[in-house]
Amino acid sequence: MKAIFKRELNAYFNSMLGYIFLALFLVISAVLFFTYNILNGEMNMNMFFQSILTFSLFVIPIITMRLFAEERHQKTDQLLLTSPVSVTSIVLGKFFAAMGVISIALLITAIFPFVESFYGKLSIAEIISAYIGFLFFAGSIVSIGCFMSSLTDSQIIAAITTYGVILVMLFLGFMVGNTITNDIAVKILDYLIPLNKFSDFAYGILNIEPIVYYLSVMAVLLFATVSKIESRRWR
Amino acid sequence: MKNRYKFGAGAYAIFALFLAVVILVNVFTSLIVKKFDIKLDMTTQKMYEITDTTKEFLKDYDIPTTIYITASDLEQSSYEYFVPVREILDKYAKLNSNIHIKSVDLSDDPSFGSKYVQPGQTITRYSVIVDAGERFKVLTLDDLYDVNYQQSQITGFKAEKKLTSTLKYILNDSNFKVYFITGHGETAADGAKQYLNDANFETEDLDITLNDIPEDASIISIINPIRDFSVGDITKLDAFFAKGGNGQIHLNSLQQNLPNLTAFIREWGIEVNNDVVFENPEKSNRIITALNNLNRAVIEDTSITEDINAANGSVVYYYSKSLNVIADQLSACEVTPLLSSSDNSYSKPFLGADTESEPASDDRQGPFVLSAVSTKESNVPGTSSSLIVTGDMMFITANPDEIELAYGFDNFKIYLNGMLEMTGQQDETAISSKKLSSNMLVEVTPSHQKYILYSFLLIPVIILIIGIVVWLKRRNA
Repeated sequence: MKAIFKRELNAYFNSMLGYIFLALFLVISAVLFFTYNILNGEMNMNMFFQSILTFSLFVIPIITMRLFAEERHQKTDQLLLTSPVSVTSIVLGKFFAAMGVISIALLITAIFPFVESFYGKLSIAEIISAYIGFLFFAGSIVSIGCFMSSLTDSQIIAAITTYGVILVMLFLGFMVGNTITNDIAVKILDYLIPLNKFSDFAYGILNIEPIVYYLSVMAVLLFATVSKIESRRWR
Repeated sequence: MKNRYKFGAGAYAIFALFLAVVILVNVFTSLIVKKFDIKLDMTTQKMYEITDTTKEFLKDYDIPTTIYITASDLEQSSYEYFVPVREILDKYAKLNSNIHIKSVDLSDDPSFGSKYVQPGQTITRYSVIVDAGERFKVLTLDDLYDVNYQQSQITGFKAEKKLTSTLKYILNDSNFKVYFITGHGETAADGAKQYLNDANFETEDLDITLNDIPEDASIISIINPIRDFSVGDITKLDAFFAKGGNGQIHLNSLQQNLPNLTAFIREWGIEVNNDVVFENPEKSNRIITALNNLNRAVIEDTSITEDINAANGSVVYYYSKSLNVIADQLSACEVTPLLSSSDNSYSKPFLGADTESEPASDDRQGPFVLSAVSTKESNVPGTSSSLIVTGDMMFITANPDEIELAYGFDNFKIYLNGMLEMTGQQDETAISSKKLSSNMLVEVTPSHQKYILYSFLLIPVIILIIGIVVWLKRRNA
């Protein structure tokens, strides 16, 4: 898994993809942070995190679309699948590599609270809580991207289907409480939308429930990805 | 065949089993979180924690109580000002099985809450209704936060303070009763009454010229009498205090001393001077507000003022009579100053409309005692009586919404703290509002903003340049 992780992480930064993702993520987060915090003189980064969460839905597929689709398109997946590495290790290696790129982006955004600390008293624990939550949330979106990428040999289709899933989630999120008011439907849909599980982290609560939820989403989708790739072995 | 099973229909079965296990783990986690308090509060102010005082109180709380929240679960979890409230409410329910939380969506049930509506009150979204059948109380978000409307800033979070106080109200069959004495042209002080009602005190007016002080009186409050008390009235007061009663007297600084009342107060070791205390307008104790020019009193360190001092609070006054502590001449009393004027204050004899306010060389120089509490043994063995005397009625005759909410002054708080101390409810003051530190960035000048934006945008530009260089190198390699 370590070798796959290294190979994938290098692949991001040997091409323009990793740099484009980082630049895009940082431009969006810088504009959001500047607008919500610096211009408004607001110390609390709650709004920033809530907004960057929504925007990240649209940039994370950029790094997940190539994970398996590109291997399949270039036929290098045959090589990978016949290598003495388990499919689980391949999937986890690629997953953690994508998470590595997101972590680098998040690490750079740590400059935002650092700048804030010159202009007021910072609640470091609350910010750490939000960053932890963001990583879990990103993990669930990356796992969606992973699974979508494993279904096709086209990066474009992988990205579009991932966006499709995300848009359906956003649409359902909008419907919940507005159009859909049935209690049971609201509870089920609320549970299926990863975006809704972030609020505890944003408010400075480290709660095991959303952590288990995000880990579950990752586990189910990565398990599905492994099963999908395994199924190609015997076909 | 084996592979067909492993990767064919069997794979779907394994996936379904895995999914079922994951769902079970989530349901189990959700149940554990609901049952046990295993969330970690990462906030600086420990917004979601409750004090040991409340935990102790909840151990003995035995009245089945339903707390209704007039908002859907989704609304509660997505409104940042309600999230801490819900967290605190859940803690109460976890610590006491008699307390149940129910959410009511007003869109589904608009008529809900009509039975809880008091005159002049409406049930709005995000109201918290504490219902124990016979007794109930409606709390709004305004009740659960300290808000400084002048600065449009939330300064404190007091959900725990309010909830514990409400449950105590429910628990107590009879609450402490404060009689507001009338019959001498006293000021009505409706704001003070409402403030006491909110803190679970019952209030009632009592014309002492016609009636005796009832047995159920815990405290009497005399605010700005303009006619003197008769000997008979004073006898009634003496009888009340001799039985362990307590009282607060708030005088009008712009009025002549009332001889009988002043003599009664003197018996408590407090001498009321027939003067007016002014603060030097040139000095920093003056606060200019839309109300008027107010003066910040010096808050002494006592059990009544402890939480106000801890929160760096302010108590203000226009003018005041000065008080002399003469307890050493009356050994039966113990007198403690609560509020004083500043070193820059000065006092002039009260001459009615002819009273000058400008400082002069023959003025008495401050500081002066403006408010004091006197305690002495009552005739009931093992009990004592307390009397608080204040030289300016403005402490509690102003509108609490203006004084406390708009300006954040603690005039009513010190009044209430006095009442709580007199009735042995000091625990109430033990649960303080959680002071929310300023959420604003300070001194971010426009030029700073410009540099911050440029430096933030420079980072992605540098990353893109590195990316292009790497890409070009690999292309040409």
